[in-house]
Amino acid sequence: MIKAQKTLLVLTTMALSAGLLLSACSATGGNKPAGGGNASQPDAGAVKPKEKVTLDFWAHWGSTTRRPIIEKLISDFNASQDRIFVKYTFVPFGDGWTKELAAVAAGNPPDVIIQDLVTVGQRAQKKQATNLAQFVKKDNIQDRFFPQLWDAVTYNNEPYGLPFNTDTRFLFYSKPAFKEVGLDPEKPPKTWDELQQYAQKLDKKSPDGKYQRIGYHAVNAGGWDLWLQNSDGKPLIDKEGPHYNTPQKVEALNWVKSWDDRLGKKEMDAFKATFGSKQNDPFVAGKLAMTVQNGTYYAQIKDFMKPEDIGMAPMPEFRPGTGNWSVGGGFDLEIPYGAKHPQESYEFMKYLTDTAAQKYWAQYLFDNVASKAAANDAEVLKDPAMKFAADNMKWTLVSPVPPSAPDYKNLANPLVEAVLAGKDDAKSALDKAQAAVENLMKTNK
Amino acid sequence: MNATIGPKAAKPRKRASLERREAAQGFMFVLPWIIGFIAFTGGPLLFSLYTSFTNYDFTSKMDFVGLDNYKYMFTQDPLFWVSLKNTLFYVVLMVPLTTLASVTLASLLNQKVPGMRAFRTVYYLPSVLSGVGVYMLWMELLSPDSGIVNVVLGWFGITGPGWLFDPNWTKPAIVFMKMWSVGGGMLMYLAALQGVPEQLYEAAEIDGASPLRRFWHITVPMISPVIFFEVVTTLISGFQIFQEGYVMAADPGTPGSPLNSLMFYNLHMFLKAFQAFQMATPQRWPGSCSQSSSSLRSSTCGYRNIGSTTKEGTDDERCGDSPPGQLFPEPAPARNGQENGRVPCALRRRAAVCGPVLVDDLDLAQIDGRDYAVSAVVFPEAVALP
Repeated sequence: MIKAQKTLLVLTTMALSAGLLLSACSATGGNKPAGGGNASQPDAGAVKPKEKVTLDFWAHWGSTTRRPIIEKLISDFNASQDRIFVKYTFVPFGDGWTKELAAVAAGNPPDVIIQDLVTVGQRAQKKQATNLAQFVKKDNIQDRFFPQLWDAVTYNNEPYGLPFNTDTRFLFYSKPAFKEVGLDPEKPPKTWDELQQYAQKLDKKSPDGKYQRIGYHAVNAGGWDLWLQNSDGKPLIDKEGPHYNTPQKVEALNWVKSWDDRLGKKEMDAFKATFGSKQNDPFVAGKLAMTVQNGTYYAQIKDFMKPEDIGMAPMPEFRPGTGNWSVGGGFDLEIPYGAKHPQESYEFMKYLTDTAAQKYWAQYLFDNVASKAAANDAEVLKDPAMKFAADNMKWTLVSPVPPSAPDYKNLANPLVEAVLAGKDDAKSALDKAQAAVENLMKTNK
Repeated sequence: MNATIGPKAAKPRKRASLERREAAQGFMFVLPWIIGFIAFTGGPLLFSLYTSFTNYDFTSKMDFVGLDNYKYMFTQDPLFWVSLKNTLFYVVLMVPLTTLASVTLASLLNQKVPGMRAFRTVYYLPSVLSGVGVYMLWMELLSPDSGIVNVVLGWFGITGPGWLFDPNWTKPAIVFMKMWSVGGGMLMYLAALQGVPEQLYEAAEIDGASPLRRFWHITVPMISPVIFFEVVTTLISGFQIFQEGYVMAADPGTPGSPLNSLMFYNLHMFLKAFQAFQMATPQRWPGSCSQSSSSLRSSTCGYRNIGSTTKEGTDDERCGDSPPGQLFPEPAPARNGQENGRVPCALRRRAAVCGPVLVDDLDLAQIDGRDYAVSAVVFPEAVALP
């Protein structure tokens, strides 16, 4: 009797633990916990198509500045019709994308997600994003966007996302600093040579030899990659492949290094360690007279500097006439592969990229949007930086990363860093970078 | 005869069934672990062994490719050997140094001096802290110009190195940081030291052994099992190094920088898996799978969370409880002061000390090392120091 009871006990326990395990598996494999009320929705949608469809929208806008804006846009959309209800899910930046990857692999992704604009091709190739060609065909939606942004969301000439916002970099300079050293505050530097001359005038040293103010520094206040692309207007990488070792880029890298040579690499590393952490802004503190930043920078600093003291100018040109090339990126809206309601999701994406919603986003967040009409709207243009950014889009290079070289930077950046550290010369390093990325693309083909 | 054999024969049978029952119960007790092992360790381990022979990328393909991945790793991948070399260099430098430091520290803290408990607490405290907060702290301490380490070196006329900005000094810098938190190992050694019988020392003392001799011939042999255990666990944790290369990189957009000097094996594996989606590269086997992938995941999540906490501050951390700013519907809210009510104390303190601080919005996303948006600048004048 006792024995039988014990056997029963053993069997029951085993069955229970197995059940627990299986239910745990099915819980993660079947319904995502993030869904909440969403879990039963797909079935309901399938059985009675007339019923309201709930879309789960993932984005990383969780701050007190951005969240209210995106939630307002969503609630307007929900109120505007009665077929679709969009639920906003905040996912921390970066984490959301890894989460999406797992959700796509498990076959239960969110309906719409905000993703990185320059890596769309990778997700298209890996079947992580839904092809939007069939939806887009109907309404020529590409005319809404700046062309380079549209180009970034296409893979094999078919779109896999709709651009949402973007950014573009240009020169900010301190007018009082210009006046102080006798430069005309209305005449910002136009070429690299001018930039260098102005910067040297603006450098200020204290008696003990430490820099009190630096006119400009190519790496710490812009980045070598920006200046290399500015030189010949060709991205470091695009869908065709890498363009690292053009003669202009070799010259540009030498020029970038010359800033370190003149100002001292060690001093500049120290400068970067105190200010480059992005928590302490050198331009606002008056320790840097010129800097290259994206358009939203103005909105961040204008409350702390006199707006009339902030000068803005296009990127200086490599040589007169070579172009004020700049770089940008952004975010796009995607339907993860395997999402249940692509038609409804697309409708929501169309709404978010339409002029009204884009204008609202631009106006309240001073963020550069993907819609040409919204970016050039008269009300949006009232803000001087927004106007400047809209004009600057024609010089903005967006370089979509080829799916066969998603990690090209891990190979190429250290080779360029070696030049800046004085361990290699520009020509040989850029040749090596070109070969390394080409080889990476070949092996990943 | 039969009468005697009968019960004797019956007895072992009964014992056998008792043993069987006990064994069954024993298995019952370990069952949760066995299930956990199969589901979360063994299964994924075998799965990743299999995927190392395929071109698995999470979502689109999983075809058998034989030894191609291994061939690529050993002969073509330019970062594989670099990352392996970096990891070995770090382990070889870190394990002996931290072991030596913690044994020395434990011996010092084993002395009978008044107030010893306070010292023990002080030296143990750093190992309570962990994660990205500590890295951030050390990035400040090791800052080439204004960091306290180089400032103190400067008092002795030594020009400190660039630490995290100088490729030759990045790994020593991290080992230096690790030596600060040897408290965990120190605690083990301290416990072992207190277990060494007093009479051994007394006997040696009567025989005229010097303190150094006593240490070498009594203490070290007596605590050698603990040293062995500690060295093994430190070796394991040394090979798992990952976050340091990810977080403490000189250029936040290039993990492992400067010059790949912090490109550790696990970091390389992580980037291949989650940046290039090459889940099947053999780097992932056997170092990865469930256990270390999940520890990798949790460490990156930890990074993100802490990162966002330091950037934005949780509600609890904010000093001064001004109501959350209602942005709507005014287009451009006055940010000064109002924003300051919603920033972490640390940043406000920092603003008071260092001048204006740009507070990264959570949306201040770094893609390719570039910032996307920033929400506010904290200014000293609006700071109320708690």
